[in-house]
Order: sequence, then C-alpha cells, then structure tokens
Amino acid sequence: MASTISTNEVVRIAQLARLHLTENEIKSFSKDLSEILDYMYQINKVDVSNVRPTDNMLVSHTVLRPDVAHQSLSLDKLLSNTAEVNNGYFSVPPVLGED
Amino acid sequence: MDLAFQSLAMVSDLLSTGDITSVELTEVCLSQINSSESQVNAFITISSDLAMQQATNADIAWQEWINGKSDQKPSPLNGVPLAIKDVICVSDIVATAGSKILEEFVPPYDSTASERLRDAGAIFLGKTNTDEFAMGSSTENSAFGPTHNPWDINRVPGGSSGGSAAAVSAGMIFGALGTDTGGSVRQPAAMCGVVGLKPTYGRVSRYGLIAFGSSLDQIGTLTRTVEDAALLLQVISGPDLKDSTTLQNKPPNYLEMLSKTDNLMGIRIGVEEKNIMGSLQPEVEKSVQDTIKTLRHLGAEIVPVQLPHTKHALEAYYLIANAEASANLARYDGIRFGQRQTGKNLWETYINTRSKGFGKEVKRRIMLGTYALTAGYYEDYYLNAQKVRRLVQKDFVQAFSKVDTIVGPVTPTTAFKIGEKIEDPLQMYLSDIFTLSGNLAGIPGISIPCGFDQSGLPIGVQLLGPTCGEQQLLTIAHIYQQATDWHKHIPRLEH
Repeated sequence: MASTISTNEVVRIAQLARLHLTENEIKSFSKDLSEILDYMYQINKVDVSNVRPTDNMLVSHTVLRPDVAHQSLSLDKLLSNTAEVNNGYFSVPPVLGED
Repeated sequence: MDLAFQSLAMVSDLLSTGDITSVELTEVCLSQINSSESQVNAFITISSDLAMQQATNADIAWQEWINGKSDQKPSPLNGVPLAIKDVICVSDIVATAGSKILEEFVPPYDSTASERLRDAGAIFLGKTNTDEFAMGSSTENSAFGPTHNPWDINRVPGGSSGGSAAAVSAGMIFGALGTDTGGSVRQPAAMCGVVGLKPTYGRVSRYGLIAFGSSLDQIGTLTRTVEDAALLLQVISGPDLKDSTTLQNKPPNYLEMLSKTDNLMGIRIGVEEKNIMGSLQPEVEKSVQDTIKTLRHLGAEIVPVQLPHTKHALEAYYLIANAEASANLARYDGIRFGQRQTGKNLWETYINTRSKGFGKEVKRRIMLGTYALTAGYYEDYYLNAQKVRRLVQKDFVQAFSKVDTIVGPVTPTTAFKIGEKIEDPLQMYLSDIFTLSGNLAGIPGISIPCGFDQSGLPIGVQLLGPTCGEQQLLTIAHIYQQATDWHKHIPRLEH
C-alpha cells in the first residue's frame, strides 16, 4: 500500500517540477495523486526478480549519420518564437538577484 | 456521389484520371468543415489559403502526367486534402499541441512525416484538436475546447487524436495523422467509427513531433479504410537521419499484398483466453465475438493465447509515460519558445510560465512523473515499471511465435458523454486499458469498425501484430473490411 500524498509532499513535488499550485490545486492533487499512486503501486505485485529493466526500445545498435555539414535554420527563424531577443541572443530576466 | 465521404483511394483514382481536381476536392472539404465544424470542433487551425495554393500545384502535376508532359506519375496522395494532429509540426503553421503555452508557437520546420506528405503533394487543410500535449483519452483536455463526436455531439470522440478521428468521421478530410502513445490513435478511431493505425515504434520518424513519452510515442493514421491507412503509411514510414530511433529496415510495399487474396486461409489469429472479456460493455463484447466468428469464416484459425503480464500494463504504462512526460515538458520554461510569463528573476519566470501555461491534466501528469522519479520512490515505481514492461514485451514475443495477429477490443465502452470522466482521472486512464500494452511492447496495432451499440455509436476491434508486422496486419484487416460494411456507415449531423 502506497502512503497518502500529503499536501506538503504535493508542494515539494511541485517545486521540483517548477510549478506553483493554488490552494485548490494542492488539495485536489493530494487526493488525485494518492488515489492514482495507490493504484499504480499494484505494479509491486509482479515478480520481477532477475528481470532487467527496459532501457531501449530498439534492437538495433547505435545509429550514426554521416558527419557532413548541412544547412541549418537561420538565426532569425530560430529566434522567431522567443519572447525577447537581444543582439541575436535569447534575453532573460536576471538569474540571481531579487528573491 | 457525395465526394466528402469517399475513401482516400477512391478520390486518388479520380484525381489520377482527371475526373476531379484537387481544387474541387479541397472545396468539398472546406464546405463540409463550414457546415459541421461549429458542432464538432475538430480543428484548432484551418489553413485554407495554404491548402488552395497546394491544390493548384497538385492539379498542375496531375495535368502534366495526364497530358503526357511528365513521365513521373504523381504520388497517390498528390492533391488529397489531409489534416495533421496539432502535436506534429508543419512549417509556418501554428502548432499548439492543444496547450495555451504554445498558443503562438510557429514551428520553423516541418516534421519528417509532414515533409514526406508535402513532397508527395498532399494538401494540408489544417491542424486538428487534441488533448493538451496528447495527454488524455477524450480530447476534453484541450485549451481550445473539446471536440464532439460526430455520431452524437454530446459525446467525446475519444482521444487524444480526437480531432483527427472526428474530422475523418464527419467527412471533413480524407485522412489525418494522429499520434499514439497509449492508444491515442486506435481509441478515438474506435469511438468515431474510422480506421486507426499505430505502426511499430520507430516505423515513422518522430522528428518534429512534440514529445510526450518518447519511448512510446508513434505517429499513426486515421482513415476511412484499411487501404487508405496503407497508402498513408507507405509515404510517411521509413528510416530518417533526423531521428536515430527510426527502424533502419526499409518498409515493404504495404499495398501489394492487400488484394492478393480474399480469405484468411493459413492465418492464425490469437484470442486472449481470460482477462479481457467480462469488463466490457456487453455490445462491445458481442461485436468483438462476432468479429472473431467472421475471421474464422474467412478461413483463419483461432488460437488461444496468454498474455499474463498485460493486466499490469496500465500501471507500467502510466508510470513510464508520466515519468517521460515530466522530463520532456521541462523544456517549456518560457525561454526559447512558447508563452513567457516574466517574473522578477529567472526562477520566478519558469514557475509563472509553467503554472499559467499548462492545464490541469498536464500538471497532474508532470506531478505524477516527477514523484515516480524522486529519490526514495524510483525503485518502487519507475524501475519496477520498466521491468514489467520487459515482461509485457516477452508475453507478446511468445504469443507471436504461435499466431500472426491478436484480436480483441479497443475500448471497454463506446464513446462516453462529455464531462462524464473528466473529474475522475483514474477512470479516464482505464479507458486505455486494451491499447497501451501495444505501446509498451512497441508493436503495431490497428483499430477497425466492427459494429454499433444500441444507441448507434460505433464499436472498434483491435488487431495487434508483431514488430514490423504492418503488412500482414493491414492485409488481414483489409480482407475483413472487404467482407463487412461497418466502415461504410456515416454519421448524420443535423444542420
């Protein structure tokens, strides 16, 4: 049986996921996550001793492409979807500072 | 003849003989969209200008071929209007993935699947509605409103490729691309009475597909017939230097086997002995049983098979898919693309952007995935799920050593009412229970119409095949369609 996911736990997970949740979201996720993870915990009923985890969906070995130069997208196109550009760079708010 | 509901193969023939033009066909689709879209909401973006321009070019290509000015016969898709699920990038057309966070995102490049369709001369009529980032089974989780099922507009079309399935079903388009991470092509196909093909993992390049669960995602097709699915798969499949997870073997000719025979002599069809039946809506169970009888009458041998670990596929699937989603969606931080909600520093910008941009189900899945990957829970959840996944794969490998295909239901019920399951995520997840083991194993599957329930809602049956078994899967499904007419029924929308 999985443990209930407390509201504190929800807040901690949200922080890891870079999400800010409203009070209502915290409450409803605490309930949803508890229910869903409780169901998912049934996976532990399966005997998986000596089973290797799946690490690759494909049987083929590493696929390489020829190492030749090719035309890439223009800087203008690559920057066309960002909110703020400065001299051909992505512009962002200060990394450090006011907290 | 009502052109709007003809098969892709049929209109392709008419184009190749000059009996109709691509411009006319495109106008047929636009007129159908015009009369039904307000009820169905299948599209997020309709690109009619681009479509008319492409149609004009396609007509020139057909004319040159017909008049003998060109000795290069155009592709069967040349001039055929298609729709693309809005998680697949088409250059210079907004790709929202059903999310507010990408509301204004204009991809500067084509996905490989779109590029191949474009090169074949297909017409891009629009981008179809989807659950946000393809996370859902009803197309209700779209930031652009739910899609309605053309068979009953109070019901969901299934999901997440609900827009594509509804558009094909309502006669708005001759075929569409969808994506299938846990059943998102096959399940809406069943609920809308169309054909949904999910190819083998890696058969179609994922380059330019907005990622959800990268080890599960696969682009598939929604069409009116199995033959149409083969026509589309032929063009979009094959190795791609831009996606190192594409299968390196060249795809076979998916069309040439289709009409070689009209019976299933020598074909061994697996039916899971227990487990499946019993939890189904009775009409769904009956239709699946009837399909098995039909397949037997067509000459197939029915063989019991066992898939002992698929009863834990749901847990494995949701743990893996959400873990991968939480990692994939980390890129939506407001920096390089997508909506930005500026805060006083970078950290706050990330948080504001993501909290305002993502809808509830996406947040829920990011939370679940993050939890399953967190220190202390990783072993119990994610790692065990990856082990169970291998057991599910082994089950299928063993089963396919005895049979050519496995037949079963696609969904436990026919289309449910809009709003019925949206507040109960676990119930919503359970509607994928028959499809998601195919994604865990990476094998191909097809959903084809096989009946109707008492309310007149379509029922689908699923055929699963071994890795790279699309050719035989399509052939078996095609032979079934030649012997039945479930796929010929069309919904009657009131105008």
